[in-house]
Amino acid sequence: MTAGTTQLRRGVLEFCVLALLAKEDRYGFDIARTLGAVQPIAVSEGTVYPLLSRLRKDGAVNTSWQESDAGPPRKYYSITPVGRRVLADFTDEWARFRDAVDVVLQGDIP
Amino acid sequence: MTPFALDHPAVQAYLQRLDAATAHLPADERIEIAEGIRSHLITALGEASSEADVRTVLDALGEPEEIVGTPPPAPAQAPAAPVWVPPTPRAATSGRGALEIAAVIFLLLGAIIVPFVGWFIGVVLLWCSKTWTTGQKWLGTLVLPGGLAIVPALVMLTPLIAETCTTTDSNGVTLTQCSGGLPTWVTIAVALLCVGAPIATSIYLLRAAGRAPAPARR
Repeated sequence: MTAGTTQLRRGVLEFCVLALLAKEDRYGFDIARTLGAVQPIAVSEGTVYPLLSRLRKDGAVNTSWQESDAGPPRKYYSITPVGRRVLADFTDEWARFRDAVDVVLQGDIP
Repeated sequence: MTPFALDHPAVQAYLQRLDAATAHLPADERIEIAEGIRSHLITALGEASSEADVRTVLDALGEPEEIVGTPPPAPAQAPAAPVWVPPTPRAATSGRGALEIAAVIFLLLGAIIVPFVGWFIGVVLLWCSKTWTTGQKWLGTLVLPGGLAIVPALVMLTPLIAETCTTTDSNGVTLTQCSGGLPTWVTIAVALLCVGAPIATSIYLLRAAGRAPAPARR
């Protein structure tokens, strides 16, 4: 993996987290495992924790404690209206970005 | 119950490294990350049944330094930016502010409003801004001096460059002799250039300023 693709993964990770949370609330371990298993996005599982902290600070996610069937209570993350807007903007941007990169990679620049 | 927990030596060593790796972060963020990782470890170690599993759990988490390392660029996290964005000479500038817009307006139209002086004000504003590079400032200064005021100036010069014809009448034969003047297409090209070039430069400068870093958004 090159430094460039590492940066790319890190860059899109927060939007992948938001996209997961847009469907349902999840707890940290769940988010980390789920995204850690998606190839080739897979980043180190721990990477999501600093990210979740920042997303909460930015108001893109909220947290709440919920009882767990097994073990201690879990901190659940949910997406906020701010987070949904950030995600929508990125989804839009990403499609155009991806198309533009494809054009350049395929050498189709006029 | 699980035989593995946070007091496993390898896990303890990991948590200590995490603590060191987050030392530069604000206290609340640091606590939140540690809390997330601890809780992650409790869940993950619950599924571990061997020493190898413990190592696998830690490997999957990633090196503490790598986890904390460079935060990903996020649109909604401007306050965190100074920590990791490499400082550039333009970082503290204002992008397309009032100064930049005024500079372009004076360059383009200043000389029409106040002959000579108006354009000169534009040049001063242009060179006062920190948004543009030296090359862009030279472009703004040289293309074209006077801005659009060059058009009326050109109209006044027209008689000098226009074709002059003299008609002589001798022995019933009319002779027409023309001298000077430029081919029509040259005149048109020059006119288009004089109008188009300053406008193009203005658009370019405004766009360049718009792309330059803006002041902190919050």
